Amino acid sequence: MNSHKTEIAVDNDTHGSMLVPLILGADKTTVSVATGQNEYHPVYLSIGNVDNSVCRAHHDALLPVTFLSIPKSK
Amino acid sequence: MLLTLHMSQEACFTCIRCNRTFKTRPGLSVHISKIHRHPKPRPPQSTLRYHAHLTAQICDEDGDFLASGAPPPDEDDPSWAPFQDRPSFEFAKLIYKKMQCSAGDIDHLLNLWAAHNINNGDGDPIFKNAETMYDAIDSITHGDAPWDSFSVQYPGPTTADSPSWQLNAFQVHCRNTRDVVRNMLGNKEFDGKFDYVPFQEYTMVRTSQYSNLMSGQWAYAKAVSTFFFTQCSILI
Repeated sequence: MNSHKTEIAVDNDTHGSMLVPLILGADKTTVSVATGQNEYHPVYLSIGNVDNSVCRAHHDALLPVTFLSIPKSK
Repeated sequence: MLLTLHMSQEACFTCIRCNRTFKTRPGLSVHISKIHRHPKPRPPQSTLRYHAHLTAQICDEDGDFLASGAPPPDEDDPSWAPFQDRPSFEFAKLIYKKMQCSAGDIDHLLNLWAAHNINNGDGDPIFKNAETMYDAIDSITHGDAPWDSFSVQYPGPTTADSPSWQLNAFQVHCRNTRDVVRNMLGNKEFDGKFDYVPFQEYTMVRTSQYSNLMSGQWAYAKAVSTFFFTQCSILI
C-alpha cells in the first residue's frame, strides 16, 4: 500500500498540488557550436499537461535544458 | 464546381464548406485543395470523464478558492525594465527578433537617429548602439532560465597511455529544469490547451482514446489514490 500516490495522499503538504509529468528526451542529432569543433547532444524537456496538439505546434512546450558533451577517443 | 466563392464586405474570401475566411483568393484556393479535395472523416466525438474530487478549481497563492473566471493576478513588475519604456522594448523586439538586423546595420540606424535628434535638439536616441541594445536584451529576467556550465572528467586512475576521453575535461551546459518548468506552467499561450488533472477520454462505450499524456492510465494512477478519499484541488 505504500506507493508513491499513497505517500502524496497522506502528506498534508502535497494537498492541493498539481501533477506535472516531466518528459525528458535526448536527441541523437548533434549541435555544433561556433567553429564546429564542439559537438553536443541536446536534452529536451516538456511537461505532460500541455495538450498534444500544442506540443507539436508550439516551440515553447519543448525546450532544451542540457547540452551533453561528446567524448571522442583518439 | 462544388464550392462557390463569394467576397464579403471586408474583402474576405469565405469557404462555404467550413466558413473560414481568407484575405486572398490564392489563400482560399490552397485551403480548398488541402482540406476539402480529399476530405478526411471527422474525428470521433470524445466524451471526457473527470475525477469527482479533482476539480482544478482556481485559487490564489494561499490556496483560497476564487470564483471561476476570475482574472489572473497582476504582474509583479509591470515596468518595461531593463528597457527604458515600451517603445524601447518594441524597437529591440522588431530589430532583433523580426528583422534580425546585423550589428553594423543597427549601429548605422541608431547613428542616423542620433544625428536627426541633434539637428532637432531632441536628446538621445532609444539606444546608444547595438551593444547597449544587446546588453538590455541579455539582462531580461522575465521568463528566463539562465544557462550554466560545468566541467566533467574521468575520476579513475590514468596513465600517459590512457585514451584521450579519460584525460580530457568536457563541458556540460545545462539550466535549472525547475525554472524551465515554472516558465512553461506560467505561459499564458497554453491557456485552454492545458490539462490540470488526469482524465479519461472515450470515443464510444468501452473505447478509450489516448491522445494526451494526462488521459493515460499512468497519469490517473499517479494522481488518484485509492488509499482514502482526499478532497483534492489544484494550485495554479
